[in-house]
Amino acid sequence: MTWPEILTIAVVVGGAVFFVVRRAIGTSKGEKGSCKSCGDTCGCAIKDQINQNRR
Amino acid sequence: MCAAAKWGVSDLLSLTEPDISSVKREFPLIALVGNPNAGKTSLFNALTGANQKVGNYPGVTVEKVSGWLEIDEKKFELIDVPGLYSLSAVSTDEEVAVDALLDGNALPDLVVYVLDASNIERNLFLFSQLSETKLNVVVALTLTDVVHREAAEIDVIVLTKHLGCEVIPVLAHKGEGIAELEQAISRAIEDPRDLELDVGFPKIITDAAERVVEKVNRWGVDMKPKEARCVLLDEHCTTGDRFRHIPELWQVIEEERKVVFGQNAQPKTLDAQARYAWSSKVKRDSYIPPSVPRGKSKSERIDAILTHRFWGLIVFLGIMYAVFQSIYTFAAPFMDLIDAGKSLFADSVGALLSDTPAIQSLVVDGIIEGIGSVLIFLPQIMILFFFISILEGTGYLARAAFLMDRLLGWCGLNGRAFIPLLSSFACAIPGIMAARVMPDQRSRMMTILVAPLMSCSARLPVYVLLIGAVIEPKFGPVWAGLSLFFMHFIGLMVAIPVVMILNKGWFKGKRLPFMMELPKYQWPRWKDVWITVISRAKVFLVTAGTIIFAMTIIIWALLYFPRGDVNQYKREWIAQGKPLNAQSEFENYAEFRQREDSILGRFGRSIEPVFKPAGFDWRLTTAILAAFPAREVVVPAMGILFDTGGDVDEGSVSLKQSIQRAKWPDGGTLMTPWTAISLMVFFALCCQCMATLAAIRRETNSWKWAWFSFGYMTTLAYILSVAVQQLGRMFT
Repeated sequence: MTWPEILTIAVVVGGAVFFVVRRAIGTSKGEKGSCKSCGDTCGCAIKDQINQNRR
Repeated sequence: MCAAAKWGVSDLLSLTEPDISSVKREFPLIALVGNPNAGKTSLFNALTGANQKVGNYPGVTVEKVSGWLEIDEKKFELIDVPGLYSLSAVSTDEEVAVDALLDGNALPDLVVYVLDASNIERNLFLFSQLSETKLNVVVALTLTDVVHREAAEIDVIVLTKHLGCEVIPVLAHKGEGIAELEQAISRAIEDPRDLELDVGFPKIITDAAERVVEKVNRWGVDMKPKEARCVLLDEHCTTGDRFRHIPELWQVIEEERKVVFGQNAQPKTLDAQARYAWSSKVKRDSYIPPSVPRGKSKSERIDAILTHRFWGLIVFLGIMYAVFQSIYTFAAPFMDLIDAGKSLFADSVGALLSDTPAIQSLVVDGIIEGIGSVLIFLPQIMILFFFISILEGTGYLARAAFLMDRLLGWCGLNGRAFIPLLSSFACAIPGIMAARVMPDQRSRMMTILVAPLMSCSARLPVYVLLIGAVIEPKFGPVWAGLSLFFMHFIGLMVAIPVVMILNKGWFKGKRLPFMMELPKYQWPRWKDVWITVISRAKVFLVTAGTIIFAMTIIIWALLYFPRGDVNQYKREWIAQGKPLNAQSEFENYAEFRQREDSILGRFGRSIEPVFKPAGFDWRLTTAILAAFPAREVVVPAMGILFDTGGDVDEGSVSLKQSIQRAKWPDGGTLMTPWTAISLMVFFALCCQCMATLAAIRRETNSWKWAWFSFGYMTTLAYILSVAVQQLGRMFT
């Protein structure tokens, strides 16, 4: 494998790992859009609940 | 004693009536309020241009949703709240609605009361309660088309006189009356009015209310007769909240209650009787019945069959089978088209990248395989939601809930649970949230815990892939459709004993009777069907697709690295007595060995013994483990894991073919019909969804129940899939 190949793969795979980790953290916190199946509606609801609890 | 000296200034200030005009907002707030299934969400969508989910059954909206409305360049915030029958909230969704209406800190500037013209009498009960608040109201009269179909009429002028506020007939789905309603909203916001209804309470109550007002006023506190009436009739009346924490004032009210009702009287009954007498009178005056008396309505005639104890169940099963068979049959040509397109694209891109094998593998085996595996199931997802939204739109789903009541009641669950369970067939999360419609905490908890067992749309690709690869070639398309039908009901069948156990263990209690309004049958509104199908397709592609895409790349990397020793594979190949001149065959072997020696391959093989009793090899085991955060990942994961590799020059083989060809190391077929069923059972029952666990945690306010769901579902999935495989071996 050449260096450009290694670099390309590292960037793509690193980006994917970052995205998955960020989404996992977002889901556990209930961030908007973090809910993978039902879209933003329930993400919003989870976020609202968190805000409410904070208040 | 001076009241101020005894209570302090802050207490007296707290007794000041909440003044709507004092609530400072940038934009006026308008709330859409009404009975369930009165057409609030349709009106919300018509006013705001939003695409909120609409359904012809009660309980579609379980939380407050807001949008923006612009009238004559003025902006208003509009909130759509869950349906209510009265201001005495029973379930969580009703609490959300009552809070949105009566929260002293955020009272709406205007309430648009959505009044179902086809059921005026019952709908006016809540209206009569609202009239006792300080809320400014405009009435939107919906479902007038249903009244017209019965050759009846509503006299809007008479209705307006009775209600004391503007009444605007609207047909939200056709846009009729929306402009008039907007003008009425604008007028009401500029000139707010306090509703003064004469519900006609008995004299004994009105006299007692006057006495309470007089006594309370002596303490220097302002109280209106309608407030006094409210607290006299209902000790939990929210109007009384500002008096309740002052014992001296509350004692005045309590004493008067005793005088009027005695010790054993039921003031709530008196209250309800008076309100219904008033609403009956309003209906008599404003409803113009058909000139020729009509027999049974169309809905009643249809219901005679569809809600029949025996025939209703047969029709229900028939409809469900037709739906799943259609999904399987109609989607096939589209799937083949997408599959062919993916192969063509993969071959073209693969050829372009042939000089850089690692990048070629990343793009072809990782990215294109992953995206293709998602796209190929789009037609089925769209067809599934097409049918679900048609069943919702016609009003049939409410009948299905009615039919299910007996079955669910038998295991200790309220029939109303069918609505959240049904929502879970699309996605468990809205289903878990819809459990707010349950009238008591006990049945709500049980519904939340079994909702993830329902077969959500994310499971559909797994079923279709395995049925298409194994069941259909062997048993034909009818069994393929039946298998898909059965897989969608296995969750419901397992939920019954689970609820029975929960009912006998943690959630002992008396089952409440099931009450649910059966909406009138109507043709589905095609715009709503279209919105549902497109929005679900978008969600599947964008929200689910992004995580699948990222996971596919990670799985590819874990399967590609570290690179193995090709010379070692050559030695193994020769040792098996195979010639090296069969270059393509050797490349396939080398690629297979490479995957076995990769990070994921080694991990999968170390876990393989755990899943072997269920008939899963290291590839299936790895795909299952990769899909634990989100089950949608399983098909792309299998796409990468089962790709034989090295055959780009020959043209890509489909995933179905790869699965059919897959072998155990001893040469035995990996994917037998029993293994396919075992795998489908595992996916049907296992809780492989992080977002669902987060939703359970949120709705139950405890991680304990989230982990309980994960634990019991995964254990159940494992035990039953092993049982299927072992039983299958006994019979074959």
